[in-house]
Amino acid sequence: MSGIQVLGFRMSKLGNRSTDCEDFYSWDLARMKFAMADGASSSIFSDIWARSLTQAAMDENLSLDDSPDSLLSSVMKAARKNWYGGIQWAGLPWFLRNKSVSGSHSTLLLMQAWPLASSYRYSAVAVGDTCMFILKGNQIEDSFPLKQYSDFGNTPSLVWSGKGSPISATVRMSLPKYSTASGTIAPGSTVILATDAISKWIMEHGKPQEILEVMGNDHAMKGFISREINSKRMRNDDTAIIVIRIM
Amino acid sequence: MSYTSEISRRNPGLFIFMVDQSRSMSHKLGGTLRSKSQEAADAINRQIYELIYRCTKTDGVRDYFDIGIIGYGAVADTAASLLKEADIVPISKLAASPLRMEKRTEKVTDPDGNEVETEFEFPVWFEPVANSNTPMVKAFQLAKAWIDDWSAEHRDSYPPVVINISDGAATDGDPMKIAREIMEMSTSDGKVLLWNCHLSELKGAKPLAFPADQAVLPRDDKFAQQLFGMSSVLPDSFLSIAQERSLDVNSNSRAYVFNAGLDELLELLDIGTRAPTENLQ
Repeated sequence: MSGIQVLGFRMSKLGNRSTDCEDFYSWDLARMKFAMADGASSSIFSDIWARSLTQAAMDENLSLDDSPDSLLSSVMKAARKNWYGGIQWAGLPWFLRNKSVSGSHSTLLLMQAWPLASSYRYSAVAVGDTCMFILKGNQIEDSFPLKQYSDFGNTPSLVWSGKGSPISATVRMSLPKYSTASGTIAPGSTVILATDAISKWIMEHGKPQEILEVMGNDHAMKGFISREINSKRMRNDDTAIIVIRIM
Repeated sequence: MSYTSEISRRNPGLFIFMVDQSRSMSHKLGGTLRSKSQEAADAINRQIYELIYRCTKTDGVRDYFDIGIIGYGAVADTAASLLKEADIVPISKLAASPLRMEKRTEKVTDPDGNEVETEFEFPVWFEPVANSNTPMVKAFQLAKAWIDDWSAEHRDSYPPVVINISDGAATDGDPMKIAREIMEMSTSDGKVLLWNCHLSELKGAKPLAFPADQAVLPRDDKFAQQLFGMSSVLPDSFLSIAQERSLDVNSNSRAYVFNAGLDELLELLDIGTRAPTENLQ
C-alpha cells in the first residue's frame, strides 16, 4: 500500500450564491478521518450547524472506534457550543428571531480508516441520507447507509442543534437515529462520501466514473453537476463530495 | 403536469389569498365565541406567517413566493387588492411591513424536557372586516386576471395557488363557473390549485379537512357542496409527502377544509429538506 489521495468539492444549488452552500466536509488525513454534513434548508443557521458538526468531528481525541453514542454526544456537544457562539442573537429581525428558536438541523456522516497489513479497516456512523460508497473499479461494491435510490425520502433523520435563543443557551440534546457500518477496503478501491443529490444520482444512474473523471477540476465539476441538474437527472440542491482513492 | 417544478427565487410560486369581508362574516363561527371575520383574518395572518417562516433563511427572507391578497365585500359589490404597494408583491415585502406586532405565547419544551410557555411576537397584516355583501365572483375575476398576467412571465413555475377564505354565500352570482375556469388555467407544471377554507356558523358540525367524498360534508350548510366542488383535487405529488406526515388523504381528496385550518396544506409544498416536526414546536 502506498497511501491515499483525497479530493473534495462542494457547490451551492443552481440559482444560489456560492456562499449559500449548507453542505460541508472536513478531513484529517493523518488520522484518516472524514466528516460530511448537509444542513437542512428548512431550518436557519443550518450552514453554521453543519460546518460546526464536521469541524467538531475532527477533534483529535475522538475516534470512530469509540461507541457511536459517546462519539455523537461529544461531536454534538462541541458543535452546539460552536453553533450557539457563532450566531449574533441580539437584534435579529422578527422572522429570524422566531425561527431561530427551533434550532438547526443537519445530516452527518463520519468515517475513519486504519491501515492493516494489506488493506484498510473502516468504521462509519451516519445520521440521515449523506452516503458513503465503496467502489472497485467503476463498480459500486457497497453503499451506506442507503442501498438504493428509492430509499431517499423527504424526511431524513437529522442531527438537531437544540433550541436557539431565547429558549436555551445550554446543552441538552437527545441522540438522533443513526446507523453504523464497518469493514475492510482493499487497495485500488475508491471511497466516495456525498450528500443526497449526488448520492441519489450515483445510485440511480450507476455511473460513478462520470463524476470521478471530472473530480479535481472544479470548473469541470461545476459544469458537470450543472448539466445533470439542468437535464433533471440530478436534484437541484447543494452538493458536497469527497473522493478517497486507496492506493 | 406534475406539480414538481422547483420553487426557488429563480422560479417563484404565486399565492393569491381571497378574503371574504362581507357582513355575514360578523356571525360567530360554529361552536366558538369568535366571529368568522376574526377567524378569516387570523387564518390569512397565520398562513402568510407560515409562508414567511418557510422562506426565512440565515440571510433573511428569500423570495420563493409572490403574494396577492384580494378582499371582497368590505365595500358593496367590490373586490380589490388589500396591498397598497402593488397587486402582487414578493413575500419579503410582506415580511418587512406588518401592520403591527402582537405578543403571543407558545408552548415549547425546555432543555430539561419540561413544557414551558414562551412569548413571541406575531406579526399582524390584516384586521377582521365584516361589512357589506359578498361579491365572490368579482373576486375570482380579479384573481383570474392576476394569474393571467403572472403566468405569462412564469410559464414554467409551480402553478399558482388560490386560497379562498369564506362562508360561501356569494351575492353576485354562481362562482362555480369562474372557479372552474381558474382551475383550468395552468403553467407547464400543472393546473392552478384552488383551495377553499370554509368558515361556517353551523353549530355541532365537526371540523373537516381534505374530504374525498361529498357524502361526508355537513348537509345543513348549503354552501359546503359548492365550495367542495370548486376545490382542486390534491395532486399526486402532495400525497407521498402527506403519507410521510400521516395525514388522512387519498387520491380523491380535495383542497377543502370546513371550520379547520389550511396549515397542513402548506406542509405539502416541497421547498427543501424538511426538518422533523417533533423538533419544531
